[in-house]
Amino acid sequence: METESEKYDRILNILRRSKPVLGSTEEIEENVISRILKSARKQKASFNILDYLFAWVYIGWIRGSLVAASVLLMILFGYQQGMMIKQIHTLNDRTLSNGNQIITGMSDEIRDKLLVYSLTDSKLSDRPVKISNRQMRRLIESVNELQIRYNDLMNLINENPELKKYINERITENNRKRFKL
Amino acid sequence: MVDQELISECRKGNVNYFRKLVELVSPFAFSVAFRMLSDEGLAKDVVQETMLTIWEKLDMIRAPESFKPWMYRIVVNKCYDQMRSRKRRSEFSPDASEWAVLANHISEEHTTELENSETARIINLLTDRLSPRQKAVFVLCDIEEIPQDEVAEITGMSRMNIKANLHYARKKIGELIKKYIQDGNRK
Repeated sequence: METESEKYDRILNILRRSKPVLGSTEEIEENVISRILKSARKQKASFNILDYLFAWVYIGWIRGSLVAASVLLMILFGYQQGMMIKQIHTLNDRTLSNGNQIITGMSDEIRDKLLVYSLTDSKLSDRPVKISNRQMRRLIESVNELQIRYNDLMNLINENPELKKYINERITENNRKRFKL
Repeated sequence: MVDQELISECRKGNVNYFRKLVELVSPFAFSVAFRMLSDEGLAKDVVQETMLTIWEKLDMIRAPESFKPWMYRIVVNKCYDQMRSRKRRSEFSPDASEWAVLANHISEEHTTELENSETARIINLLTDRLSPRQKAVFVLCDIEEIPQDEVAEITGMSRMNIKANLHYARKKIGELIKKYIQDGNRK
């Protein structure tokens, strides 16, 4: 009579002896190689410069995160550059003032320069004068206002002979004092 | 089985060398997969998937000696996946005639090898009630005759775990043999 362990060993021997036969190695080979080549073609088609740059990262989701972060940084950089260029373009119109020094933009209008020249009675130094458009506007406005006030005053004096006489006397007296006549 | 040159060339992406590698190692992978799954079609699928995984992750292999256990580990893991999905699909229910075929086989002094289909039926009968881990340990230790240290490396189990799983597998198979294969079945 055969024991259970002998039966067990006998069955195991049968199974060990009966090596499973892989009949179609070539079929498996072809399938595997074709799948490899197919995936390689697919990878080539979807070649991405950022994926290439981060190819040293083996873990897919980390590589993806790095790619996303770089794209975000590039967008941020582009936006910042755009803002800076915009600010530089509007810098010409700005005037910054600290204490008694005025840092200005430059006016290139010849007409404005001539006006400044005439107002200063040719007493400007040879240095180039830098003045902003805004400052130029204020200067013109104040000159015009002064001219109007002067005209009003002259009319007022001419209309009143006593006042005119009084002012002439005062001017004569002042001149006499100044030159000690 | 596999030498350093073959691994290096495959790692460089040389498809012709990889073809050689597939030719060389796929019978070993098929043997384990077939004995674990008892299904030729599924075992071939597992071999294909294993070869693709090897191609993708060959960089992990530094020395040729570590290739075989690594490959077996991939095979066993893929077999686990197949077993899980198969268990959901259908339950195997052997009848008395299946056991009679097995009894007939062990009663004769077989010198010739069994056909794949016969081997699959016998393994199915014996291991149907084993858990995937017990089945893996039984196939690797008792049928493939791989040393227990190497099986521990392949399955990721401790040596004690291997011994325990093997013990339960042998016990369950022994009970089945006792129940279904009587001396009277022998010619």
